[in-house]
Amino acid sequence: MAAFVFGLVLLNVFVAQGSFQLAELREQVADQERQYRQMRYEVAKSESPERVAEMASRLGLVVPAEQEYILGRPRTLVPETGEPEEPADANMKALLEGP
Amino acid sequence: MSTATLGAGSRLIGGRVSGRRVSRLNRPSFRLMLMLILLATGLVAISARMVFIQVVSADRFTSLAAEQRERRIDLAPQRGAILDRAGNELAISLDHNTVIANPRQVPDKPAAAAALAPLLGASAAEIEQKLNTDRGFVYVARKVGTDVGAQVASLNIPGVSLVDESKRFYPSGSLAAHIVGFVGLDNEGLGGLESAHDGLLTGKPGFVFMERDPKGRAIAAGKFIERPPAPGHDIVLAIDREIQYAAEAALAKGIKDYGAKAGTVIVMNPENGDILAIANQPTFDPNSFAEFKSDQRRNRALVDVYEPGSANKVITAAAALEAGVVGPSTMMKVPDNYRIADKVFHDSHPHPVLNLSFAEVIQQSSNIGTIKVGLKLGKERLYEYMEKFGYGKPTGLDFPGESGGILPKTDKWWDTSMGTIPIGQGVAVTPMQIMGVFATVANDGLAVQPQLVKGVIDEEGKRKPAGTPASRKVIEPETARTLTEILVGVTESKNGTGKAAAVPGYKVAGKTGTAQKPNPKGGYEGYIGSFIGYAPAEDAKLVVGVMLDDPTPIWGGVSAAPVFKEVMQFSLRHLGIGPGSVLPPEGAPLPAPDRSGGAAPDPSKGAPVNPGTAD
Repeated sequence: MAAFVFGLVLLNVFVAQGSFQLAELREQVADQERQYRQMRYEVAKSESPERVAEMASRLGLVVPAEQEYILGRPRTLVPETGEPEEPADANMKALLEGP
Repeated sequence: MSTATLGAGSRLIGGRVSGRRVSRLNRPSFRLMLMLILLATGLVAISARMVFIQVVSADRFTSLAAEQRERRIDLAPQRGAILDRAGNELAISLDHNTVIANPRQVPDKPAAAAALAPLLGASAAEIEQKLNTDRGFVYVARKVGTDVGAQVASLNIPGVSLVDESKRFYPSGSLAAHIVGFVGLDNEGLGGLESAHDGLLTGKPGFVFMERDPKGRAIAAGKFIERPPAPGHDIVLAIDREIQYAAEAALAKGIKDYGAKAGTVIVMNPENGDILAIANQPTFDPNSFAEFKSDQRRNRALVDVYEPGSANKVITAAAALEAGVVGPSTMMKVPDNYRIADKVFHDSHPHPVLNLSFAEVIQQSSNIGTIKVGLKLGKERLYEYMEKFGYGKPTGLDFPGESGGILPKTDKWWDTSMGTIPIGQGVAVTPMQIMGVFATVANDGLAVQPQLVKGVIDEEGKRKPAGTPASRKVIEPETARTLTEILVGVTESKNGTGKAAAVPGYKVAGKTGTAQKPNPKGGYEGYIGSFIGYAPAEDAKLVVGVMLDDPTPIWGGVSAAPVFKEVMQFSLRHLGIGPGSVLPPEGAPLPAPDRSGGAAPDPSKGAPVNPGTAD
């Protein structure tokens, strides 16, 4: 009987300890979630286009004024001899050879 | 007479020891009896008190104990974030501390105020005034940072404590401010999508009901009922953060370069209706929205209406081509003026009678040529197509305050209306509505419902897409393609009015606009310069619209077109959309890009001769 009562008391002690731990863990989870959201905010702020543009400008980078495109035809596959074929297109040849 | 033997030589007779009287108090039996009575009285009193406490007043003390022990804590839900299409945060909530006080428990109010003032950034007098009240609860400072909260807590001022409250932040400042909107002090949506989707973003509050010990910890074996809060959904927008920034930067530059009062830029995908950017100037920072006027917070792209001017010629042209009234090569004589009823309408500049094809009429934005075609079309068909293209009703974005524009029914038209409406005066549209017209032509005649919200992310992290937007056929694909070829001429042909909008390497289809602004007091005053176009014209992926309020010069082809070019060029590059140009035949010289910048109307000719669309 005494052992039963003792056991019951012990069980209650463990349950009480467990509930304190649970409360503590919940607080830790909430704290981690708060930190996570704070970090998301910091990342978003760091990546904001205005900040990136400002830093790029400080580094001397500029937005290109014009973009050039090379309109080319698909080249013939290099044959097994290893010698590339001459481009049939005179304009393409001029482009490859440069000014 | 009682006797008792007391011992040798003495006798108790009648309460006296022989020879002397014995006090009753000294008698053992009496003292015993007295003790018994006292004990019994005490026992009865205690019993009575126990009965009173445990039986008579049982309910009262049970509830007092419960009140002391039980506590319900309301749990506020976390407001959902607003993200761009790539998941970048445009709006996010963070936990902050709110400093509260029970003034009745603050012993030294002046000292408390003096200690709190430097931490909270308020004057000691202001804080002391809040504490000098008989109420049991006051806010001392709402939503201060957790670092400030920690400093306040370390002061250990009796009666002053902290509670958690979340605060809304917009990490990119004014980026997409008009779309995202802003919230009030209690996190209620007050504008933009924060307001339109307040229910989705807010979530549902929860609570915890528990029995706690004197230290505030939950009692293990006690009552514990928890309903966790349901956090708000995250909303994913169709907006592309980088394109949004580019649009805002280009618009700000355009307003500065051309001295405009205000402006709007919209970028959208005509195939799926995604709105990639809406930029408005003037703008505001939603982190401190109260410091800005309502004029700056207005989403002009959706709320403001304006007479579209020459941009509306696209509808007249689409209707005329679809109805078979004209073809692109149909030739017509175009004078520089034309009378309808009692009014004479003019082209933007005097010229002799020209022999122009219909395509040239549109490319050179001739008012008279368009009016003549409109007359052939007739007002009923013109009205029908304006309605089909979406005039007269909101676009369906469900944005707060969105306007449906003004499209008067034909029985309300004046005798002179066929001289104004075909060229875009006498009707009013929002910038988004006119964008829809061009998006429809770009998409082979199919109008797709524009959309700002791509989907939501629920509390479990699952993404739920918004669903396929509705679409409807407005004109035949052949008509759309024919019109596109004509509109390419606006940016590429020798006399095209929109050459400044050309993007090297791409075929750009578009239309300039220089529309008079109605004066609320009557008549017209000022101009809206615009350019709306799409690229690559062969298979349009993007539509961009630029409207500038009172630019100098007024011509859309000079002021709005360069802004269009900048935004379109960036967007095409950012999305990796190649030129899509058809290669020239074998052996033919490669096309040289036109770097002439376009032939702008001669400023020495001054303002347009007569009221009417000046483009």
